[in-house]
This record gives sequence, structure tokens and C-alpha cells, in this order.
Amino acid sequence: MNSTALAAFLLGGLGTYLMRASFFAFMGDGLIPPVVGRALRYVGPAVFAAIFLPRVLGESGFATLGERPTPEIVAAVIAGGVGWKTRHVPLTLAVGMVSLWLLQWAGL
Amino acid sequence: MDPQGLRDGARGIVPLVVPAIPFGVVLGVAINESGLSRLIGWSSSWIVFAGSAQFVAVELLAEGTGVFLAALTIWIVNARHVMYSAAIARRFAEAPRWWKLVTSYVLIDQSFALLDGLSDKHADDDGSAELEASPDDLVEVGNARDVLNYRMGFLFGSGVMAWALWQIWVLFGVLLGDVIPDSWSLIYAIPILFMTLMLLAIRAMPGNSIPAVVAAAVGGAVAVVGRDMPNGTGLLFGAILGIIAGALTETVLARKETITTP
Repeated sequence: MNSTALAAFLLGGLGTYLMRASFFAFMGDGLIPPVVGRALRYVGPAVFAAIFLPRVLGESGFATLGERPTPEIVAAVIAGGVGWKTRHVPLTLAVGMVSLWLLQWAGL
Repeated sequence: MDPQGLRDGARGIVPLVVPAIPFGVVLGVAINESGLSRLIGWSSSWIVFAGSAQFVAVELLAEGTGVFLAALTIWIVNARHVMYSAAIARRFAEAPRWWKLVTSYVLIDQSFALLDGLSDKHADDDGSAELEASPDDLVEVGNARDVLNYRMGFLFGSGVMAWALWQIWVLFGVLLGDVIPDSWSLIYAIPILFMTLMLLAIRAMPGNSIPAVVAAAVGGAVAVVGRDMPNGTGLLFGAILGIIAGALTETVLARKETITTP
């Protein structure tokens, strides 16, 4: 199992390195078409949302919204408000986690 | 590389990667409990150096998945780095090749977000990242060579600092994971971190932020609907469709403005 894991990490890591290097090290500015350049502006918002939203909603996805809000969803809404207002990452995280703990503790 | 840039980058990245401490520790716990040797499990941190992919790969490998399916999963989860690479490339087109080949290894989401956020001159007004000068401020006052050297130092410094801290946190989790109770729900720090990065990216948008909100809404919704798709491809589809939606919204809004403004 360990040799399989090491081989998978090396192969996966090589691919990851090449993807990180792709445009940055091998293809200069001139090779990026303008339409791609316009699209790149929205990479951050789209990717970060695609990572966090499924984890906040949980196993049943959007069906969760039809039921009583889970502590995870309430904590995310509270933290989101703080993050939007303050743009302070550690503070936002602390508020999110403390909210989650309090909601779980209160059994809501 | 400009030494001031190195220092500013190393300092500036810290607040952005502090929220990754629970991520790194939880990943260390997962490695600890996976049945892989601690050293092999930890090696994913300095070989792959990407938390989400490491998480998924360790999980799959512990279940007996083969080399190629595990590697393919890592590639798919990390495919977003091609987009980060392209987004960052524009600012470093003139940098030397050797520097790019070395720095590629430490390019991370947070460096991307940090460089993105620097376009917003007030990004540091929360007191958590007191950057003395942002690369975009220097565009107006310095010459092109100084700006490039500063940015090279900034990106490399932020990447190396994030890399070193990541190794320490994951190792910490591997060694001390056993004493952290599950009831802390520390894993929930991960979505909160990415949600905050999303909010920062939207707020850093120059001008109209509606296309960025649309990009996030579509990206998130598609990823939720496609959450059970194999090998993390739901995330990839969400990202691609979100980006297209953002770009299309920008195009439509720009056209409307051209019509209504004489």
C-alpha cells in the first residue's frame, strides 16, 4: 500500500507541477486569447464557490434548503456576513467555527 | 528578486494561510488514521502540495485504489491550477525561465488570491496584512524592471512561506492528531476558508461585481448538483460553467452600457 501511495503521489505531483507551470513557465502572455483572458477574471469566484458550497449544504445538496437550516448553513451565513463586512480571514473563520460550536451545543 | 518583495510576500501570505492550520492538522489526522506509513502519508504534502487533492488521494489510497486512478484524481482536483497558472502568467511574462520553473512548484490558490487582492489598494485595511507597497502601486511610480523584481520576490516569498508552514502543520496533525477530539468539527474550517477567499475575490473586482457574483452562484450551484459525479469532476464543471457565466455576464453588461451611454 505504501509503495502504491508513493507512486500515486509522485505521478499526481508531477502532473500538478506541470499544470502549475503550464501557462506560467511555458506559455507567455501572447498565447492567451483575449476571450480566455476575460474568462480568467472569474476563475477565483467560480472555483472557490464550487469548493465551498457543496460542503456547506452537505449530502442532500439543495434539498437541505427546504428543511430546517443545519448548524453548518447558519454558521456559514453568519461567517459570510462577517467576511463580507471585514475582509478579515482569521476573524471570519473564528466567527464561523464558534457559531458552529454554539449551534451544535445548543442543539439547534 | 527584490528582497523587499520577498519579505512583503512572505509576510502577506501568512494571514491567508493561517485559516489552513485546521485543514493541515485535519489532513494530518486523516493520514495518521489511513493506515499509510506516517512518512509516506506526509510526503504527499511536499510532493503534491495541494490540500484538497492530498485529502482525496489519501482517502482513496487507504481504500486500496490503484496508482493511476489515485493520480488521475489528484490531476482532476488540481486541474484548477492551469487556470491559476494562466491568470498569474500575464504579470510575469518577462521573468526569467529558471525562476518560473522553480516558482511553479509553490504556486497555490492563496498566492493567486493575494496577488488578485493586491489590485485593490485597500485590501490591507483590516490590519491583518500590512503591506508596505502593492505591486500595482509601484506600476505608477517605479520602472518596469523594479516592478517585475518586486513581484517576483513577492510571489516566490509568499509561496515558500506557505509551503514551509504547510509542511509543519500537516506534520503536526500527523503526530498529534490522536489527541484532537472529532467533536470539534475542525473539518468545517475548510468550506469557511474557501467561502472567505470567494468573498475577497468578489470584493477585489475592479468596477461592477455582478459578473463575479454570477460566476460564484453558477460555479457553486453546478458543483452542488454535480457533487456525486466521479473523481471530483463536479467541481471542475462548476468552475468552468461559473467562469463562462461570469464572462458572458460581463459581455452583456458592457454591451448594455454602450447602448445606454451616448
